[in-house]
Amino acid sequence: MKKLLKYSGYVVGIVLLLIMVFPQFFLPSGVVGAFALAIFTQTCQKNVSGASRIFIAEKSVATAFTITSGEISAVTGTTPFMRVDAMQDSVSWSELGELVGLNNWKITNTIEFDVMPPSKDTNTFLQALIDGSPCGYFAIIQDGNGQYWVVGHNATDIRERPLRLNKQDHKTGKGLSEAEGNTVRITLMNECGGLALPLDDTLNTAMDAGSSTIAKWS
Amino acid sequence: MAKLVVRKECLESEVHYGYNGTSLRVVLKNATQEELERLKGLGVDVFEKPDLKEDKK
Repeated sequence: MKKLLKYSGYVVGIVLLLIMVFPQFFLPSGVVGAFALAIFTQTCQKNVSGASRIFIAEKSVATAFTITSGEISAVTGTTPFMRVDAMQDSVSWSELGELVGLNNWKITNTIEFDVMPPSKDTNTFLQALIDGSPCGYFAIIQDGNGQYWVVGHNATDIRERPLRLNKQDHKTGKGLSEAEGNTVRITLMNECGGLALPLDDTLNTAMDAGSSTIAKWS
Repeated sequence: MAKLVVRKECLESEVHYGYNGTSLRVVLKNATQEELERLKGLGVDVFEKPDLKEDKK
């Protein structure tokens, strides 16, 4: 019995040591905050600013996200993300992280895009955004590098802090020389605790090809 | 009811889903049958297809 206790003590000690040295093997995948600092290697490649495409879904219809190795590998829903034809070079996404107090970190996502011309159709679109805002939205944004990101969902808050319609701004402008006159600028925002996740290569390719079922194309 | 089996390549994946108005998270390799049933109900595609031979029996 003494020997058993002695050896089981060794085993427990070794296991605890392994957990401390290799925590990644003992934590569920996708858990954030569990990453130890490691070398960051920069890839030599083009890096293009801006964003081009935007798709929006109500939180209630995008029912599940599957995350594999830090990327979204599947999106399940009752209705796909809706394509929004925004004006060229009007789409932007900002992900701003800030220290709150000493121990908290807050991330503010801001998505802006312009639609035009103001009409019955833009009114219908805006009213739908106003009506759905209390429950919130998820958005898929394609950045200048062609990478798609899901904004409004993150691995910390899961689905609890979605985007909401923050602002709608329509100004006629003062004359012909005002390029942004008579456009409707729409701003979606959220404050959350985690970083937005990218779509994996398979979903990214399907989105590029316009064949992905997670988005409504026509 | 047939036991739901997660495809091998999805075992390490994690699913974030909405259930009864709340948000839940499950790592598929640790999921219970009840959790897998919920995911199946939502249409999450991570399961082995049922064996046709088994169905015939």
